[in-house]
Amino acid sequence: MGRRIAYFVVAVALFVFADAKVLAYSTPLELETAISNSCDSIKLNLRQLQRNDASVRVSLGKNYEYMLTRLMSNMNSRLAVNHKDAGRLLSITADFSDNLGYFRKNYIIYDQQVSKLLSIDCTKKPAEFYKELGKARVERDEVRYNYNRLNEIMAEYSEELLAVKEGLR
Amino acid sequence: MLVSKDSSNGAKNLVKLGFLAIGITLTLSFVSLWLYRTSGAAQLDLSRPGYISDETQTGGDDLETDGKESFSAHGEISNDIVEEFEKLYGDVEKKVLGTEAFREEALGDEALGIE
Repeated sequence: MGRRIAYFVVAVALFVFADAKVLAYSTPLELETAISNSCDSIKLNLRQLQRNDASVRVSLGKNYEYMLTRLMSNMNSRLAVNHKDAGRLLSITADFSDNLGYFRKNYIIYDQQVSKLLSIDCTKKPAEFYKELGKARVERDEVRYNYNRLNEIMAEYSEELLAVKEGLR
Repeated sequence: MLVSKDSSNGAKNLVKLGFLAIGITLTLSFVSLWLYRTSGAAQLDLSRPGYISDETQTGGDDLETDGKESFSAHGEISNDIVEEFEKLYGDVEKKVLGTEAFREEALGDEALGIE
């Protein structure tokens, strides 16, 4: 009896999740039609977004690099040269450096996904286009996460520096 | 006029050398292009077609190294020095936080025009 109930539960679960998966990946006909009809303008917007993102990426990259190499690292060195306790500044700097690497790597993946998306003919393959758009959104979320994380680490460094400054008095 | 065997061989060798040079050039060109795409340099290259106008937008607004203040790794350390550092640090932080980069809605259906 117990085994029958277990089989029944598994069967129901498979039915529910299989159906959910189909729903998650199926593209309604209306949506496909909308994509097909507006393909040119969608791609135009996407290209513009890709260009804007590239500008932002370059600008952020320059500022983050400056922050890491000209500010954080130099402050850490200066504290070390003067035999002062740098507290957690070194580990925070290392964390920043690691996350900057993730940001760079994830941006490449995201940009390549957008380029792939732009190569799809959305008048003929709207479903595939929308599926790849979903992937691009996930990659963009990753890049945004890295951006937010870098900003959090910058704030941590700033807070820790206040503590180090107290120690200099 | 008869062509000597030596000059004939020389001509053939020259042709072979030409093809070899072209082959090496093409191979290195493909390798360079592959490296350009996979290394991430392509994503940072604002000189690509269509991107040039964006380059001018980023050019004047960044704290790049040339001509801009940098905090020295050498010298004494004091509260005044730290405050000087904090000012430089704050300027960069302000620029970065003001960017509001990679917002989710920018890739949304509405923003792309999928209606």
